[in-house]
Amino acid sequence: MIHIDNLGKAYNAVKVLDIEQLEIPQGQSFGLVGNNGAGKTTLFRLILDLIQANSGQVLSKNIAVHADSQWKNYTGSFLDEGFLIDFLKPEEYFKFIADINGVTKEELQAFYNDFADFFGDEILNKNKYVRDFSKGNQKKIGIFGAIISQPEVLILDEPFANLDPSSQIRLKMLLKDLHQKKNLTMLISSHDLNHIAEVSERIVILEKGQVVKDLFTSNDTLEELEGYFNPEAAVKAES
Amino acid sequence: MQKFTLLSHQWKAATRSAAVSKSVGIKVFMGFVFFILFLELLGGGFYLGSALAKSSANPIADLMRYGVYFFLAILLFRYMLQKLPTLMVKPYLILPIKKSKLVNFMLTKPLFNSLNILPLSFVLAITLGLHKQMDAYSFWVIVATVMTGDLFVNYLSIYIKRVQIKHEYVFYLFLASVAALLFLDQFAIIDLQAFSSLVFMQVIAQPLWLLTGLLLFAMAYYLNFQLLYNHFSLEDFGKGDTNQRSSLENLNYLDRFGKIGTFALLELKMCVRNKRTRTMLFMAPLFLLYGLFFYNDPKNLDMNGFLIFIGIFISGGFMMNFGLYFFAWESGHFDLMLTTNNTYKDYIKAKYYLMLSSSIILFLLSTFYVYYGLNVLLVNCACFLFNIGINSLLLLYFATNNNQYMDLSKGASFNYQGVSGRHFVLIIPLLVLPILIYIPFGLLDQSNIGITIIGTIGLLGILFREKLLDIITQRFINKRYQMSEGFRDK
Repeated sequence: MIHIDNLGKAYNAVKVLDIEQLEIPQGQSFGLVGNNGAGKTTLFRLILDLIQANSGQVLSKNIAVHADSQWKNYTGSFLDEGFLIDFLKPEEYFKFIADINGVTKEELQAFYNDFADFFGDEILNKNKYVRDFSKGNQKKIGIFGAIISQPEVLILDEPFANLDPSSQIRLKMLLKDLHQKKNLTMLISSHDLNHIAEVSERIVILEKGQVVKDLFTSNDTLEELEGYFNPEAAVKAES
Repeated sequence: MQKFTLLSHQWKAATRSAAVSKSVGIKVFMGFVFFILFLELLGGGFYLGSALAKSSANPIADLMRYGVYFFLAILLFRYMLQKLPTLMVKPYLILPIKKSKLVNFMLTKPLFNSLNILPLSFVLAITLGLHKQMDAYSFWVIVATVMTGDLFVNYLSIYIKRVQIKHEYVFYLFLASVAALLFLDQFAIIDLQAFSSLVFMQVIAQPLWLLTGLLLFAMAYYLNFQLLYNHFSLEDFGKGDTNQRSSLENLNYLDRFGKIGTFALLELKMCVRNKRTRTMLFMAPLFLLYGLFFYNDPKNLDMNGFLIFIGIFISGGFMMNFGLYFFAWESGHFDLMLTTNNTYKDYIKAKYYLMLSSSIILFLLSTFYVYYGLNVLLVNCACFLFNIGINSLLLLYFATNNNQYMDLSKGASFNYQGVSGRHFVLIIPLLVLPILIYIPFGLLDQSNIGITIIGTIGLLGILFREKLLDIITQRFINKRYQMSEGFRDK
């Protein structure tokens, strides 16, 4: 589905991303972890053609994303507040995205019903602009906005950050559900190793822009991840 | 001790701010403007003084007649140009510093504004021109009057400006009342000159009246103090403004135009719901008034080149102000625009149609200038066609060059955040091009042909707009990385 081919990005001659080959097949739920500055957001931005690669390319359904914008028809994404329109009400924001993607009113309403749990009663009919919502609620609005177009590929950057515990759990269930029912290809980054191990089939660890680990999740994955990010503790636990 | 710490923090804030390195260009530009203004004020003041010395029997009494206008002018000038003195308050509030100390610190800042030297130097230049007619006594009284009056005006303008942050209508109220005052004076319903001479002659006769000025200043200071003390967080009002809640919500009418309508509606909502764009919108009718200033002089009506200049401004002034930053206005959600749709052309078209509508409305309103003769209407019509056919597209093309983040939550008048000097340069061809086209015909005494050609070129632009919009779309696609990268860098 998404193929990364010799992708490199540098700022002022400092390499921030350097990935030789990475293939994400259709229907895979792909988790991306790494410390700050590892290049997670840069990778997502490159996949979404928001920044220009210094070398290599990203192929989506075998078409280079920078050359042809076909991928926009089947890709939903939410990285940061740059994806929100802060002077709209949530309903207007959703309607805007629905209109652009040709989603009908009825479909949108059906979506609202499906998401009633996730939203709680804090988002809809609040008569507030997006900019007046809390960070957590803005995140919910953005995630919902990314799903409205019923994409085949969903890209979320740290979707669990800023969410309250119940919302985090609901989001996890929701993502798993979407993945199973619609065979959605998901690319999700997170600092929360628990969550990411739970929703992803495959996890890639980035460090200084390079893939240092690429593993399929099993019962030991969480331990392995924790071991990687805190080696001393892992050694102690063994001895 | 604390005061010095605060001062040093201010200094660090000023020298380390991200804006310092970025906007050297605009700083140089503003500095240049300031310098020119200063020289002009000095020259103008001296000229006024010496002219008055020659023509008037009692120059000081005549000078006093204009005191009120002088202070009114400073008030407007300060109101427009002066930035509100701010201090990032939050980190200090939790420290053991008295609140009143912080407030007083903030309120002393306007005393050290570089604009302060302008009014006094203007008056000094006048007195220099009048030096033969003036004794030392009245000189010192005049200087003292200007200084106290300016203090009062300074703090008054800051007060109005600060209240305006919360209550936006105050801005329009203020402008309207100044306009009304001048209007009443113009039509001799009230006599500001007599009032002014009454007040200021009194001060010259008895300088103790200056204490009233000091009292007024103290009151203005106190008002500021109260306002800041009670609403210390007024500065960080956040991005939101609560009063414009549901404007344009039910404008489903635009839905029928498909994606272009969707984008246009978004654009309209952006205009109305953000402070900066909203101020611009409300100021748009002002461009219509340009004509009133110039058409009244019959000499101007004979100069077609001049009429073209005015004509371009009347139907295109708003467009130029707004259009040059068409993409920058959306810097807050530009990433969304790049990732959700692949119909860049519709997106750009929506902006084109918005310029078109603004221009059409302003042109229709301007048709009443036919009162000054058919020629004025013809010139304005040609300029209107040129504006929508050529200038609008040029603006869209140039707009792809602007890649600085724009903060929409602050007011627009004299707000240069996200603006740089080179952008002003881009406006020049838009104004000069039609005049250049006209000049050869004007020189050959074929002015009608010249004006027709301007209009025709505009019509051609309208006719071939699809092709031209394709070029702009391609340009947008080529520039998209630079723009989105710039917008993300807040």
